[in-house]
Amino acid sequence: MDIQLKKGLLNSCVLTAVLNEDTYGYKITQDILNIMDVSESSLYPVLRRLENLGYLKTYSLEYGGRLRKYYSITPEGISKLTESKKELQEFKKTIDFILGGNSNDTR
Amino acid sequence: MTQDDFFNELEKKLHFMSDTEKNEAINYYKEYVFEAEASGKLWDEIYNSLGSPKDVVVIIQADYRINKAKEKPSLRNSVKLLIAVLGLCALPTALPLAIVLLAVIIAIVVAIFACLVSIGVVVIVFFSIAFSMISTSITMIGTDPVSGIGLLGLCLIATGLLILTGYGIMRISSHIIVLLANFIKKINEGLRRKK
Repeated sequence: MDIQLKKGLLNSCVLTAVLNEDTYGYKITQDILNIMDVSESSLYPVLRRLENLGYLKTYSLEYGGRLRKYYSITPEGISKLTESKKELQEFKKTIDFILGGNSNDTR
Repeated sequence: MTQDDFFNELEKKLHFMSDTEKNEAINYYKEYVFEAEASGKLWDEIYNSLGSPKDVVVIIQADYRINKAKEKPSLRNSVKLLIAVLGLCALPTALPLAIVLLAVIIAIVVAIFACLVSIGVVVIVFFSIAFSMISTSITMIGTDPVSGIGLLGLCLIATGLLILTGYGIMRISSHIIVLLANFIKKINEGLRRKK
């Protein structure tokens, strides 16, 4: 897949993964591995980048005798995600056109 | 590789980061491994999916250099970025052809430049030979005027040609330097635009 496209989608995936509840690095990675072909170690730079951009913020909570770093989405992150979703909606038409047509035709 | 070895090596390889950034990265991966183990995975499995410390560092470094080059688009940061991107090429993950091409182009420019430098060195050596020959031919004029003057003439012609060649190399080199600088500037601008 085109690397820029993948990077943009990965950003949106991470923002979506933390949208409903605050969560932690390992959980985010596992959720994303289920839906996207990325290497397990590549999520760290993405999380750091989104944090630096102000789309995510972090805090630590004790869990099982250890500190766990939680990520939570900021209002900026939410509006960024809304914006990306709008773009993807447009993009979806194009994708549907390419992948669509006769669904029985698998040539 | 044991877990301790993994983290020791990771720490060593992250030397380009500040202590705060390094600790942050290491803590992230430590927490990651801890969570993975808590979910019932064995260290070998975790290691296989994370990759070697080198793989992890290459991923962190490429992103780190892009940010640094965006913050401060200097030649130094661009070159560092380029090196980090070349490091990414060594990973088995698919890479856009453009980056590979870019590396090839730069390698070619460097090779041409190296050729020019070596020709320059040869010119300088010949130049000093011609110079010593000129003094020899002048002393020869005293003993054998005909061959002395003949040799002097030949030496002067050779000196003239060498000066021309040297000048040509200097002109070509400066063109290549300008080309190279523009090229690096373009990469930098491209990256900044991509955000």
